[in-house]
Amino acid sequence: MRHRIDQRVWICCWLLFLPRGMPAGEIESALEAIKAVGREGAGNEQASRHWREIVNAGPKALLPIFQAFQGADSTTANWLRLAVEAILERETQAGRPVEKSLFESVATDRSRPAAARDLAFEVLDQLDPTARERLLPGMLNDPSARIRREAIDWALRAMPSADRLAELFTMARDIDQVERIAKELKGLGREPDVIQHLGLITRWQIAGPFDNSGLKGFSQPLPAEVTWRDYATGHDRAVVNLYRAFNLKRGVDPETKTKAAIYALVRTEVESPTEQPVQIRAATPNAIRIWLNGQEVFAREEYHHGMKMDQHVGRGVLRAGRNEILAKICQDDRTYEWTLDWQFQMRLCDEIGGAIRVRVLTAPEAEPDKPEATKKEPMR
Amino acid sequence: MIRGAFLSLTVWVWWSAGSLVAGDWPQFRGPNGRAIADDVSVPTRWSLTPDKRENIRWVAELPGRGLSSVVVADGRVYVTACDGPDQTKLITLCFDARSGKKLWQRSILATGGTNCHPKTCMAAPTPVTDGKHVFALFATADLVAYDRDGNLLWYRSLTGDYPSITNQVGMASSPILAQGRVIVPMDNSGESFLAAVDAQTGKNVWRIDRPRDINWVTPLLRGDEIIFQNPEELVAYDVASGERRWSFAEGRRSEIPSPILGPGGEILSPGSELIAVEPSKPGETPRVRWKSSRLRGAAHPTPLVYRNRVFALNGSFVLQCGDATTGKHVWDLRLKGPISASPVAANGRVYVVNEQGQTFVIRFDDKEGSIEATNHVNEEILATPAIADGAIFLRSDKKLICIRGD
Repeated sequence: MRHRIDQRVWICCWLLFLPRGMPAGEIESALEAIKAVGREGAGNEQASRHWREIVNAGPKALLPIFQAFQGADSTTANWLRLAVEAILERETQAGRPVEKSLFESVATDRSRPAAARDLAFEVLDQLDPTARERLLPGMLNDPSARIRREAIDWALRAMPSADRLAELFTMARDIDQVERIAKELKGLGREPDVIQHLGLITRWQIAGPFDNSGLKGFSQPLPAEVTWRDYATGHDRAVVNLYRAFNLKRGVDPETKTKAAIYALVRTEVESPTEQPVQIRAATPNAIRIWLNGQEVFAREEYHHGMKMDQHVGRGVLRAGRNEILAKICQDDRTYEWTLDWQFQMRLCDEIGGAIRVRVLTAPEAEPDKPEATKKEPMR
Repeated sequence: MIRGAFLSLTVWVWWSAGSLVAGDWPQFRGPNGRAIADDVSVPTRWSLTPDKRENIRWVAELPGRGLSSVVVADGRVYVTACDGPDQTKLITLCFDARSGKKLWQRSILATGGTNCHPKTCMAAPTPVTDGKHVFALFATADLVAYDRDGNLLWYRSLTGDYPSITNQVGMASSPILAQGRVIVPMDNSGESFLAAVDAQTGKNVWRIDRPRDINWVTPLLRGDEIIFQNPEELVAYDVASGERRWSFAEGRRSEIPSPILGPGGEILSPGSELIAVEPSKPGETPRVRWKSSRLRGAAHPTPLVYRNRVFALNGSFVLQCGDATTGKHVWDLRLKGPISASPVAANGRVYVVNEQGQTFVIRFDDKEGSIEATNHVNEEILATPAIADGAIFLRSDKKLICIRGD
């Protein structure tokens, strides 16, 4: 009974203060308040209040919300996303039809942020059963990773010919799609170059191993003097097995029953034709730090919780000309079977995973190590 | 200062008044993590197979994976799920408990990493509700608060705030509520902490540094203390300030099964042994009331204390029963595993769900336990069941099932 009374009181209050016909300017300033949310919940109270106002404003707030995605970070984009969902749900529950043209115009406007376009496409997909068939064939080269993925998936359903598959291979960005198409192409006698397509780095200079006792090597400054030697991996997905690269035995020492905690430094130089943003994507079961031209762009002190392509992403800007990528790969001293690998993989790509135009300058003469195929290992 | 605290408390009491009622199941393992719903009658037999449907009130398809448990309050069922090629879509859903009608669904996109062991997923932590709001934490360290109608209260990207947060095995510790605060466990390989987040505003009230190591334990509220543990120690923190009050470091404590309350208010800490610890004054070492290596339990399920008995599943999926006041072993009962969900209790029975969706309904007395019924739902289930308002809620990877007699 108490609940019912509470609910009635709330409903009365809500009706009294229900914003009616919220002017467009107020919607925009409310959206700005949401976008002002800061670290550790700063601005949450105001944003929460304005979120309700915007949702209460109904469908007329949808376009301003999509416009507000411009400049929104991933945190505030979630506030905006939830407002779109709430408005649509209210309209649907009230039995009011939702105009789909707005969603189509946002989804197909490549100048808009991917987060807004992805959401618009998601909504459109629910509202219009013809949207996929009409739009996806023209979206194979889309700047949104999500939309491009949908488009590639759609095209793959049509049982494409070898030539068409080769075309789709050049457009695919998500690793699982690239691997799937590469496998199909191989079955048709083609030789897709996955390493080049993904921008994986095979040529390195390596130094070490250095001491990582007590896991202190991770945060120690770089050694003053380092002797580098060239190394090229022969792995089919450019994984560098550091035990093999240093001619060390992998595993636990049978005499001492121990495993050494060590780290390696690895570097490569690439030449970029222009200044361009870059994502340095890495995979390793070991702790890793990455620097671009002396600036640290990524650090993760986590040991043996699995290795998956692109699990780590560092962001930076390549300058025109020579650029140095340096990484520290740290191994711990635990002796469980699942702690024995010391390896990494790295690639340079744009924000949706497409290889960027660079030329690797390092170790041009190094003979690739003997071929090695990818092992399928579960994440730990 | 005291006036401020009083005002905050008053606002909280007003804000959440009348929200939870008896029969609700508001957090992981129910009211205060006891995993008991003893004030209602619930079915002991049901079936959801191609040939037989019995005592199934409703079944709802879920839009994504998940092994979080459902929570139930004030006639509403809340559950989380994740979807998308990299599990980046983090979904919270609300259903009407009686009809199974979906009342609302909201989704955010992950801001933290989504790598994990294949057995788990990003919808692993169980949400918590005060009846008027639901607070959902995901394994990506995204934390979102909605009111009961799906209106956004606040949202926090914890990896946005603390970028080194990482657990590529997959996080699963669940938040709890205490004194108007969402207690957020965030032990991981990066910046680790236990935080009290104001339930109304989403801002930190306090945040205590924790060791950088992965951990899946859910905290326990005991009076004005938050009890938490990792393999090194069992610790009590003051709810109001986050101040560390006492700790207990003996043997290896578990990093998956969570500490629970004993019949006399003592704390049962799973680990290399199940240890019953009597809390002490701040700074003093707690006294051990009893310990049992036989009742130490298994890798995943949290033990259960019910009607003066303690129930623990061992690694061979034998349900072991002991005297909860002495730790003395009483009986064993072999079940069919594997089992990830924790046992729950109602009607004088213990309910244990295995990963194939079989629920063993176990009766027990002072001498032995026996399987009264084995119920099938033909679904993979890793989530701990919820029991609320006369119904049992099973959550599989794809479905939400409400079991209720007529």
